[in-house]
Amino acid sequence: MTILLMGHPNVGKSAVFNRLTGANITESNYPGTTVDFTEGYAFIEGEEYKIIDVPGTFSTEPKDEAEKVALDILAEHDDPIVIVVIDSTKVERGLYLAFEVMERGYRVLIDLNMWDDAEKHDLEIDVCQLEKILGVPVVPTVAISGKGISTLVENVPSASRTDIGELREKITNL
Amino acid sequence: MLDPEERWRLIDKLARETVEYGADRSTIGSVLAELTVKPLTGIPFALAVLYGFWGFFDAFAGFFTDGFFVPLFDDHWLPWIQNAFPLKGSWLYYILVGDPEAVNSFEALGMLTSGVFVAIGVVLPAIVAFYLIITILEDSGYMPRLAVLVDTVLHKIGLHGFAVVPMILSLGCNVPGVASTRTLETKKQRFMMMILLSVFIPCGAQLGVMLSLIPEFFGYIMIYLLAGFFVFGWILNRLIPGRSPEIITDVPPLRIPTFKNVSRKLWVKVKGFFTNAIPFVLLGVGLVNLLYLGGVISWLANSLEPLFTGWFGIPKETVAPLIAGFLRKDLAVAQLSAIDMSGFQLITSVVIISIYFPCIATFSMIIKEGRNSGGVIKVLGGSLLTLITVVFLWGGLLHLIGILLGVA
Amino acid sequence: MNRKILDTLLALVGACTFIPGLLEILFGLTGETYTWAILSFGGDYDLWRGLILVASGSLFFFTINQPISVQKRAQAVLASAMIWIVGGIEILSTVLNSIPGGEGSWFNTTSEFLSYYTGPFTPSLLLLPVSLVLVILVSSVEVKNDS
Repeated sequence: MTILLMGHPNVGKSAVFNRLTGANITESNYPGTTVDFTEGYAFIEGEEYKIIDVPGTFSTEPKDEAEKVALDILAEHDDPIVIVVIDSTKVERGLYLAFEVMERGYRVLIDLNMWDDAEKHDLEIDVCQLEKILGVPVVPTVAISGKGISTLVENVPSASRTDIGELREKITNL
Repeated sequence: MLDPEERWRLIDKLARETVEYGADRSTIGSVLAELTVKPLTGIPFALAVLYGFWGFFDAFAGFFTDGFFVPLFDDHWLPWIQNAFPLKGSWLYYILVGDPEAVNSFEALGMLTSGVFVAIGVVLPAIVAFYLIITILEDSGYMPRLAVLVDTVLHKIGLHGFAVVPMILSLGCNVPGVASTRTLETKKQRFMMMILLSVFIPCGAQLGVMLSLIPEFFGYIMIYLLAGFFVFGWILNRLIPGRSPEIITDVPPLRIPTFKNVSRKLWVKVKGFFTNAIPFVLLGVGLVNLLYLGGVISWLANSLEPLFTGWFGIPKETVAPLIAGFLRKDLAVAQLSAIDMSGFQLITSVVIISIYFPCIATFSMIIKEGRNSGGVIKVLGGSLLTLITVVFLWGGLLHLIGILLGVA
Repeated sequence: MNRKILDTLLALVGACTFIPGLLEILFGLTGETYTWAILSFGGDYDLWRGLILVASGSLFFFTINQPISVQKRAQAVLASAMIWIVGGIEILSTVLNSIPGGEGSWFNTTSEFLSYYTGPFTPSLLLLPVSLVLVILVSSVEVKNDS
């Protein structure tokens, strides 16, 4: 089973990756440092998962070589679970990518990373409602310190597909 | 699949229902983050940060190199190995130990004397100090702020400010720098950046050796190299067809670096140094000694003498460091500083060491990345052509400047 | 504490930063060294240090007359941070210089080791604790205003 970590540049994918796999790849506080993918392994509920740290990408329409790498990875794996890592202070853009991935029919789990920054900005995100509407698990984390990572791991098996037609209706009727 | 417009509409609605923005209360951190990118406050602060960088480097590397490694190698290791190593006078002795009469580890020139001393005594403290600061600047989020400050200049040469990320990475090591050009959008940008980086940006190890061995010339060398970066960037931007579009990137927030992440990154670098760099440094010393014994160096030095003394104004002996420079530029700089020449000649020869050819590791990365950026032949051909032009023009110009100033 | 007292303090620290900064630039340009009481000017890279102190002092002046706000606080912190960098490097290099023994021995003797710490000191080193206190003051005023 494969888990792909996807998200915009500099949302902390590498930090999440390190937390999940116990690996030692470089985490940097600026965008564009991961240009190649890194693989690692993690045991989740007795099952071994291959985890791939995908280079940062803004959308599923590639714009540069690093993004092309990201999409090739998405295309070449058979039914992976995609953890979409989102910067909690920039939820909208992150959701844009998450929507694109969900529309392609992948099993998705959303990680609202940098939750501490959102708290610092007095930003309140209704995680339960987001989860209910989207129909996929949504987990707040602070990957740098490891907060929320165990919840993220617990939710990996419940990553799920969303019917976009239904989702559209749900949101329109809000 | 939804079309982008509808996607945004749905997300807007969803966000309005689930996300509540607090009163945008600016914190001291966010105001500081702003102050560091505004030129009026940002540039003076950048000056302070650079001073701190240099000051820390000087104190830290000086402590280990001058305080402990120099006495250790000169007073203990060197005399011991000169006597303990058998076969004095043989070629093996020459390659491994070097000059049996040498009184300091720089001038002995053997693999086990100069080689080990340069690697452990000089480069190791230098790169630990260097990477420690770089990592802290990276993790605190200050690095991209520095980028924003030089953004304006980069725009003039057709590279948007984001090209600074490859530049910053290159200051650590050109190899990841070249790899990160992948985040640039067009083939033109990638090609330009790869060449400019590998030619004009010295790597961490080289910077470190320059800072510890020839600090008095460091500023001049860097100014001349960066000037070259901009001048040739400007020229290449005119010459190469293609476009260089803008990328809008966020500046990340300022954070306090975590001890764990900083030490982990530092450890990765130091480990890499032991496994990748030290063998190359020793190999470089060995290779040069072997070529000396074979007469290749003196032959090269004599046949290149007109070029060296006539065009560049540097002594012909610099040919040996230039050969070592294919393997490790830091070693080359260390070897240069042991050659007897004037200050201006030293500046010129260090500049030439930097620009004449990328080190072997960077070169193979260019070949690898060239495949994604318009084909290996085109990229390699283009780089070599640029390289030769740059070395002759930029190296010769420095000599001319020296003549005009009356110092060469 | 009201704003007037705070502004007076800011102006005072600003002046104590700005003027030595100017002097350091001066001594940096002439290459001379000068010692007055426990204060010393001159030495390598003095020009650089002077420029930073002048910039820091100017920034302190700039914060005066502004209402007490996060802006003002951040400016004072940034100005102080510049002093801390210069002063911090001073401390670090003094400590690291005092340890190795030089010719003949690995470590310094105790008395020689201690002689590194008796001064004279550069302006930034003396300003370091002062600006630290100032930043604490500026922050505490902010907190009072909030409640």
